[in-house]
Amino acid sequence: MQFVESNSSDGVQLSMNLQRGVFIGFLPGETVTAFILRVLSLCEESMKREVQTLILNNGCVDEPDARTLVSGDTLVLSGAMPGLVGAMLRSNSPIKAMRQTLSASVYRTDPLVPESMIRLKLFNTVLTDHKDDLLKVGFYLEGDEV
Amino acid sequence: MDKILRIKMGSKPEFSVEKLGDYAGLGGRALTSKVIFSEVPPLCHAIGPENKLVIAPGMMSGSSAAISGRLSVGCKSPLTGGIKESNAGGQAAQVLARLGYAAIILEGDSPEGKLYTLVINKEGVKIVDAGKLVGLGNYATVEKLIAQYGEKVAYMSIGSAGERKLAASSIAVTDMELRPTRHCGRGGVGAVMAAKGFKAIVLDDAGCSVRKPVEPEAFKAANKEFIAGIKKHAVSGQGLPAFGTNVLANVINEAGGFPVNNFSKGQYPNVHKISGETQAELETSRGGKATHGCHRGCVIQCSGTYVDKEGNYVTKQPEYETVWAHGPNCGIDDLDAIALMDRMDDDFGLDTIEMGATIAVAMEAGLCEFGDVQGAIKLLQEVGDGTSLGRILGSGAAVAAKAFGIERAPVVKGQAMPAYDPRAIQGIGVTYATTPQGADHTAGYAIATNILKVGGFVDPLKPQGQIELSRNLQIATAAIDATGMCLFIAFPILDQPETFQAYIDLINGFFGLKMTADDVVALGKNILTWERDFNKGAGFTKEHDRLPMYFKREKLSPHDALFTVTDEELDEVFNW
Repeated sequence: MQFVESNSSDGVQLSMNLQRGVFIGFLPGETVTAFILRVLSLCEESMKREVQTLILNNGCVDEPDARTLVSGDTLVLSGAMPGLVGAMLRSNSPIKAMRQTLSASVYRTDPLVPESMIRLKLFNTVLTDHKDDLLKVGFYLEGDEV
Repeated sequence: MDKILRIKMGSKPEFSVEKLGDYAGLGGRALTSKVIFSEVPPLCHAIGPENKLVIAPGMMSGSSAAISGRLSVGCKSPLTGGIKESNAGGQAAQVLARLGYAAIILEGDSPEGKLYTLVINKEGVKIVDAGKLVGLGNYATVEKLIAQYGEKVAYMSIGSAGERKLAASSIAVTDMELRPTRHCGRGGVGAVMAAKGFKAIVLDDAGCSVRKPVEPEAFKAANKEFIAGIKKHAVSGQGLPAFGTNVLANVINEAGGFPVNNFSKGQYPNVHKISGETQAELETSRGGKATHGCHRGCVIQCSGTYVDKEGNYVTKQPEYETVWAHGPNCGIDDLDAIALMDRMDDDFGLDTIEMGATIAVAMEAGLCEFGDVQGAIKLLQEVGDGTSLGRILGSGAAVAAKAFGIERAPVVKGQAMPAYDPRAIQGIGVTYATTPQGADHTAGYAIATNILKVGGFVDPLKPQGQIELSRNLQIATAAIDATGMCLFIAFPILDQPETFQAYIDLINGFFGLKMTADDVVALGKNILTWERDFNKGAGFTKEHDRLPMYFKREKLSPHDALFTVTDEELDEVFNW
């Protein structure tokens, strides 16, 4: 596992690492919302505008204030996605009824994620707009991703 | 757009130019489906002389309305046996509309199996022998046409798959760079064009002008507001231009709805290698383009240019469905290989979704292993070469599954499902099952909240919500397909009431109408009614509005999901 806090890899590799997921610490009792605001340096209004798709452990998140992070979670942060399914996957989408199966998280902890950390994945415009924020905070890569 | 060009093929090709008559006020999918419903015997053979091929620009095409360049092609489908509307971008819709034609209707059959080129310009119509083009792929066909007819022209053509009348064959439409990269892909429309005796269509609007609105000032103001709304929205103004539709790969995978290895799994571990984000980085780093429009007047620019390691053009930026079909659905994580297969599909004239799904079926049957890049390319080349195996594969996933004794054929009404597993995303499964078009992700695409107040009327905790949503989305999509507008306008329309109003004002300003949301709903319902009535006549029953049984039996990881919408609920979709 390697700690990364500056962009030492090429753009394509860094982009793929952040899509595949990096390990990053969370604070005790930290909610999904609080984590996003802290790590991406956003205010709540900006978060609603920029991070419209939230997926936690393969399930869509409609109430990020209500969910507290635990070790081994996998959290995906993304901008608004195109397509009917992209619209369904948005937090509190008006057509979320069409993704009932996805509205619940899969109960599992990722055994590869260290204690007090989650696996964080960035997609779409959140990836391009906030990779530098993540580099400032620093994160860990899995052994084979270096 | 006040006339229809009707081409009657037979022992002596003839044509006539007609007034619109009962078809007045219709365009795009509304016009193609009305003509097929009214004029084609539903029980005819799809490549027989009784079938017709209708080519119709959208109602707004040829005007200066933003993103209005979609072209609809309709017929009885050789793939599904039901009605088909297949649409594409490219330049043809704009040029055909400026020539004044609301539709071209191709009738009859090719005399002695010969192929012709249809040439349409301001002076009139010519039908000329296409002998020198026969057997050529779309790229070589267009190259020869450019040498003869020039570069200020739009071309439509079929490749070798269409000439062989394969059920997965497409009709290519040239883009702004005169490349045959935009395809009416679904349903085997290329085979019908060949059966009518046409290899290519040349559309030359020299001397024609942009279609003028009835209320110029209102139209201009609405267009400005509409464009501003599109550009400021996160999807149409940022995500799509930056990454294209393939930006969906990561998130659909994360949600567990990404079909892998012929719909046997819902997630793919190497999705980051083929995602839209990676694709855009790769294209840009090689000197390609990650942002590009498929036709003039597009302000979203969701396409791009895929180049090889040396910076040489390979194909247009493969879309999400193409990357998925030739990629993870076949266990493949190589973007260069996927781009090559996209190029081959475009050149042979094949639907990328159908071909990716078919190769995955062939892989399950043991013709090669999942993940075997060279094996997949070889299978596709068989289709291009017209071998016996290639003709089976070029007939689509359902036929291939029968030929190789495979149950897992992910099809509805004979057409392969796109890149969303209906077990994980049940609402889209309802649309796959019930649309008259066969499994089609775009059939219920338009986000209709503002039109139909879907969100407000649906209880998200009741499964019936999925039925109502699918119904309303299909109605709204059918109406948008009639306008010639790209479906991606759906996102700013969903979120920004002022953009939805600008959209309505744009149409009203162009035609001098006072159309309301109720009129949009009525048009959408009419289109779906014509399509379903045609299918009933062709022998379709409610039992055809079903997913294959294994979607109710085989659990999809990671949610262990099954398709649980009941048959009774599916039968309610069109109960309005």
